[in-house]
Amino acid sequence: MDRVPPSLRPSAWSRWINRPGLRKRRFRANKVMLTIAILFLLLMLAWALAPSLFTAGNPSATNPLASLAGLSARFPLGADQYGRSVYTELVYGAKVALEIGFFCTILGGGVGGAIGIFSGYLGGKVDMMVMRGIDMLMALPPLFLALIFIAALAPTTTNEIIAVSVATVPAFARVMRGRALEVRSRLFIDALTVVGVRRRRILWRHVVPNCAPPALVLASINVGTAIVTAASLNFLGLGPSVVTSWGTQISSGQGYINKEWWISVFPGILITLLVISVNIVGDWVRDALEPSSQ
Amino acid sequence: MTTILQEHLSDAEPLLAVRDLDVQYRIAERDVDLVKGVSFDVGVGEIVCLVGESGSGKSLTANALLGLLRRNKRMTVRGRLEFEGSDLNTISNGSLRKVQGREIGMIFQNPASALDPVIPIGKQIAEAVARRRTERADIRRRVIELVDWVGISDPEQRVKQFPHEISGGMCQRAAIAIALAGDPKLLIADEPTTALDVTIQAQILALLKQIRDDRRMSVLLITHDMGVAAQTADRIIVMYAGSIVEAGPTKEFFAHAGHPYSIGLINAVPRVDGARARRFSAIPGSMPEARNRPEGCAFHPRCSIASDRCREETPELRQTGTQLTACHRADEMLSGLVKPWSTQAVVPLPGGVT
Repeated sequence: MDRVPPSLRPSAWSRWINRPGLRKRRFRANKVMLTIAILFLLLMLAWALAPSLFTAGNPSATNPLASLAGLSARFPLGADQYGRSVYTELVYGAKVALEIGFFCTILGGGVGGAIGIFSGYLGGKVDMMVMRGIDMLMALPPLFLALIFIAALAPTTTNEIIAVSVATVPAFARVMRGRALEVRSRLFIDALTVVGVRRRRILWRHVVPNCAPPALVLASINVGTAIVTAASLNFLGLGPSVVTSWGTQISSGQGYINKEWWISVFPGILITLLVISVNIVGDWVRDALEPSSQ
Repeated sequence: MTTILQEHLSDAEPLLAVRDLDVQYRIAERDVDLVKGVSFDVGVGEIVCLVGESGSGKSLTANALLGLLRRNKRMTVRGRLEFEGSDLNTISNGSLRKVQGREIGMIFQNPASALDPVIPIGKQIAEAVARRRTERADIRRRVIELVDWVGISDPEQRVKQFPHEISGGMCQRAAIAIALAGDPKLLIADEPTTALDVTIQAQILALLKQIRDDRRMSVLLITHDMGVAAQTADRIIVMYAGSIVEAGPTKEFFAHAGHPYSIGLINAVPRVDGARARRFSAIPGSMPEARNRPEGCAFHPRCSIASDRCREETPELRQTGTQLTACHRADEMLSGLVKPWSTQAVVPLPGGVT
C-alpha cells in the first residue's frame, strides 16, 4: 500500500461506493423495486380494464357546486374547476395512457423495426437511402415529430397514436438495423447460404428471430416514452379534446396550481410513476435477455 | 501447367476441377491478389487436404467454391471452378443454389457460431433436409437418421436442444449432419477440428473418413495442422501466400517433401518417434501481407536456402519426383545437394530434455 502513489489509492468515495455487501443490497433493492413496479402496472391495468370497479363516479359529470373542491371523502383527490372528481378522471385516464403506450410501441416499433431489419439485411444502396431518410427524421426531437403529425391530422385518438408511433420509428429503425447488420455477418448465415436456403427464408426464419431480444428491450422502455410524448401532446391541447387524459388534466389545472394544486399534481405523479415502473420492468427484461449488458 | 495437374494430381476421375483461381480484393483503389493461379482436382471418393498458415488463402479458396464471396462487392473471383459440367464461378445464383447443400456441403471452423443460436438443432437439420424431401414425417425420420449417423447419442432428445446446450463436438456433429442432409457428392470442411480438443478432433476426423467410405463422397479438408493432414488426406496441397507451393500424395509428400516451406511445416509438428524425438522447430518470420508480397518466390525472405534466382523469379509449379513443387531448388534438394533448415536452431520441448 505504501508504494502506491496517493493519486492511485482508492478514494474514500470509491471505497464507500464499492463497500462490501452493497452489491447484494443493491440486488435486493432491485427486486423490491421490480415487485413494486409490477404491482403498480397491474393496478393501472385493472383501472384501464374495469374503471367502474374503482370509482362510482362518471369522469365527465360536471358539478358547478363542487367546483375546485378540496380533498374530502367525496373527492379523494379533490375536484377540478368543473367539479369533476380528479380521482375518477385519473382512473378513466389510465386506459388512454396504456393504450397509447402499447399501440404506439407495437405500431411504431413494428414499422421501425421492419425498416431497420430490411435495410440492414439488404445493405447496399437500399440501406444507404433508407438510413438517410431515418437520419432526417432523427434530426427532429420525437415530440416535435409527433407534434407535426398531429397538427397536420385531425386531433383524434387514432391520429394521436399514429403521430406518436411515427415519433418512435427512427429509434427502432436505427437499433434494429445495427442488429441486422451484426446478425447478417455471423457465420451461421454463411452456413445457411451454403446449404442453399433462400435469402428470404434466412431473413424471416433466422435474422428476424435473432433480432428479437433487443427489440423487446427497446419496446419495453419505449412504452414509457410514448406515454410521455402523448401526455405532452395532450398538455399542449393537440390531443383528442373529448377524452379525459392525464395530459389534459395537467393542462387544465395549470391556472390553479398555486392554490388548487391537486388538479395538476396527481396526474403528474401518476405519469411519473407509470414511466418509472415501465422502465424498471424494461431494465429487468434487458437483464433477462442480454445478460452481457450487466 | 494445367495438363500436368490434370494428369498427376488425381488418379480418380475428377469431381471438382479448379483452374487458375484468382481472388482479388479491392482496397484503396488497388486490387490485391489474395489467391493467385490456384489449380487442383478433387477426385471421386478422395480426401484432399489444403494446408497452410493463416492467411495463405485456403479458406478463401473454399468460400469461392460455394459462391460465398459473390455478395462481397470488393472481391473479384476469376478462373474456372468446374463441378459436374458447370462452372460454379459463372453459373447464375439460382443454379448455384441447386448445387449448394445438394451437391456440395460445407462445414465450418467454429461449430457453435455456425449454428443459429435461437433455433433447436433438429429444426436446423430439418431445414437442410427439406431441400430434398417435402413430406413432414419423411423429413423427421431422415433428421433422426442423420443425427444418429453422425454419432449423436439419444437423437430424439438432442434434436430439441439449442446449440448452447450441447458441447462443441456435438455442435460440429450437428453441423456435419446439416452438411450431409442433402446427400452431397463433395464435402468442404474448413478447419472442422480447430475449435475442438484432440480426442474430439480424432473422432470427427474418423467420422469424416467413415462418411467418405460409406458414400464414396469426396472431401476437401482445409487445415493448418500437418498432423490432421497426415492422418486423413489422400493427397496434400500446400498453399503459401495465396498460391500452391507443393502438391502430392500424402505418403510421398511426408517421405520427401520438395519445398522448404513444406519441410518447415513438417518439422514444426512435435514428434515422439524417430530421430526427431522430443524436438520440433519453427519456421522463422511470418507470412507477408497480401499487399506487399516480395518479388520472386513469396517464401524467399523466410527460406534458409534462398538464392539470387529465388529473389527475382517466381517459381512455377512443376513435376519433381512424385509431386509438384514450386521451388527453384527442388531438384538440388531431392538429390541431397542442399538441405533446408539444417542450421536452424532447434526449439527444445518444455521440460528441458533435448
